[in-house]
Amino acid sequence: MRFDPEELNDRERLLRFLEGDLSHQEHVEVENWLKQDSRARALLAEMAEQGIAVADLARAECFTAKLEIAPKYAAFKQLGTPFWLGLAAALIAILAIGALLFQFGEHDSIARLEFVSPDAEFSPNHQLARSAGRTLGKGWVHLEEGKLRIHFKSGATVELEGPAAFGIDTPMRSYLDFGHARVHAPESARDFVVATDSMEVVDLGTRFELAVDSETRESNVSVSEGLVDLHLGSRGTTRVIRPLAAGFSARVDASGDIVEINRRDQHLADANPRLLAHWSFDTPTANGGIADVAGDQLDGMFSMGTPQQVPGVSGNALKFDRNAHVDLSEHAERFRQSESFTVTVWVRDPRNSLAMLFSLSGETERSRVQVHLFRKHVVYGWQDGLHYDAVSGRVDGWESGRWYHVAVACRDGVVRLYRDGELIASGSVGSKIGTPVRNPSSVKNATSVYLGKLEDGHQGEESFPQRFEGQMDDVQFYSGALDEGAIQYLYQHPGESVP
Amino acid sequence: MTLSEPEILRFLMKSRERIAAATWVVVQDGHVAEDIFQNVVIKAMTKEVSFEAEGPLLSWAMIAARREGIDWIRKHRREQIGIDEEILDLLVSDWESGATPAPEGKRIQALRDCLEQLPEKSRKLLQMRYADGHTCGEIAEQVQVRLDAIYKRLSRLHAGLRQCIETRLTETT
Repeated sequence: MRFDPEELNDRERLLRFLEGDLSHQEHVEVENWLKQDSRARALLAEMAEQGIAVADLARAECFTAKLEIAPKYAAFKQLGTPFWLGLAAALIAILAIGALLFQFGEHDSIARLEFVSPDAEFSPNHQLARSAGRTLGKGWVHLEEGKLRIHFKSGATVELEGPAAFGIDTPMRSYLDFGHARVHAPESARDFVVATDSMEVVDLGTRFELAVDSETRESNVSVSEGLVDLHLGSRGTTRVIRPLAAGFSARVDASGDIVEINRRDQHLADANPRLLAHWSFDTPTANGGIADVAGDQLDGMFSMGTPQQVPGVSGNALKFDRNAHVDLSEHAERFRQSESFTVTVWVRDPRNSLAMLFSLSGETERSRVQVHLFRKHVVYGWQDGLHYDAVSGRVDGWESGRWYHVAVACRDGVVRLYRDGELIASGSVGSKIGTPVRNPSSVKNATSVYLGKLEDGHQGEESFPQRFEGQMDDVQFYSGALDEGAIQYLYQHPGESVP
Repeated sequence: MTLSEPEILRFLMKSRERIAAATWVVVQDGHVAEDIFQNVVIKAMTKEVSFEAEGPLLSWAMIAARREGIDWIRKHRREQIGIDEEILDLLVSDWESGATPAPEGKRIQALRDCLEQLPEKSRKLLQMRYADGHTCGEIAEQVQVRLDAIYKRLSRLHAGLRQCIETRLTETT
């Protein structure tokens, strides 16, 4: 259903969305409006801004003069905005003074040098104290070799291993120019930040390690307990937040892009990924179905009668018009057995802003995994219960008439997204609310598998399927995660499978 | 040259509606969004974050508010559906491109004028919802009206305010 800004019911639904007062199905529908229609976004933003502004004005007596003020506000109302701003400033000042005096008792100290190894050597650039027990103010630690441990007055501790250059900024903020640091931030130091040239690692009460290469400026973050948020991008730019959970590490390049995410101490790919199905779309089956040429006979049915074939990137491709999809549901159990998997698809001219390529879902949409394109993103999404989450990789767009190779590989809780053979994103938790990556084996009672469609809200509810309009060619599904080399092979050899 | 503390505070207060609205979309609770905005201001003031211009400050505040919002969902609302990150990016992009006008200066004055013109019943409804913090369900109970009707009235009020603000802005230019 399309959004109509003049329609009262649609506006009401946006308001209910803001209030968190929608059914799951309605929520999904409003999300689709918001993704596809800037008018819906403008209206949503306007309602929220009006609400905040009305509250502000009300509290500032600007329009409540004519109203009977609720008793709980009556006394406060007389105080006015200057009073509240003054009170806020006073509280901030008290907090700041308290923080300065707390524990260290020295006005300019931010941290204390807790431990210095006997073999520690400092470079001539070192600006701060060198012996254990001394306090440290704002400045740079330049360690040539050996180890030291810094205890911030926020409670965070940082162990440095030389050679390293480490900047102390505030009790809650530091900077690693290069070298290796181990960080522990207890609850008191939640939000402790270690910044690098290309990102900020924000600690959410955890332990992590961070290493920055002095030559390439590449960083490696490895989380051993809890959760961190990576604020990717250099200072002053719009940053992207990616959560990273315990047991995972992320490699981030000098420009702030995640090169890859790995589960610690595990290999990138399965030893022997197996081709489970290959729908080449070159020749239909005898009964007009979509043939699996890999040999396991995971044939599909085309929803619109005779498949519409067009010239493909190799042989023929399948054209998806509105309402067209390939139904593979009779093989759902086969796909559901995949804890690690790879889906690869050639696509041309995706017309929907949200173009669904592959989906596997249970009896309701609340248990599903899916691969789709959304505007300039390739997305792997999953849902388990009420949570929908996703990892997405940004691309430069979809040029008209050109074939693109899209691949998604998932193993050990890490998903990797590729376009035209290049890794564009990877993640172990969703960027939406930080839930762990799910795979097909987590889909409960898998009953629906489609190319070009997500069956949404079945089981008696109104249905809002998401679809694909465009062309697809040589869709392959592997049991096991292909590595980057294999993905590149598929990109360079259209129509072939991995040898 | 970096922004001074008063400049940071002034700019954040000026951008209050925008930052809090973006957070509201994340947490789907206007009052939690306001609390989060306050936390962001305190963070900006007490953590000695330095900014060379207002653009990076707004970007930082938006990200900090969004992250606090996500964190709040993790802690308090395990059942919340949450909002697709892509939508948040689109909203911020709309704001940055100027597609959605900022609610500040003349726009706020126009809103104030429009609110004064509203019938008392309408102002009371807005106050109960947005200033006193009652949910639509609570308001429906208090005024003995169906929940649907409250949503419809609020939707109409928002649309009416929008029209009134645009008319006033056109008149003053």
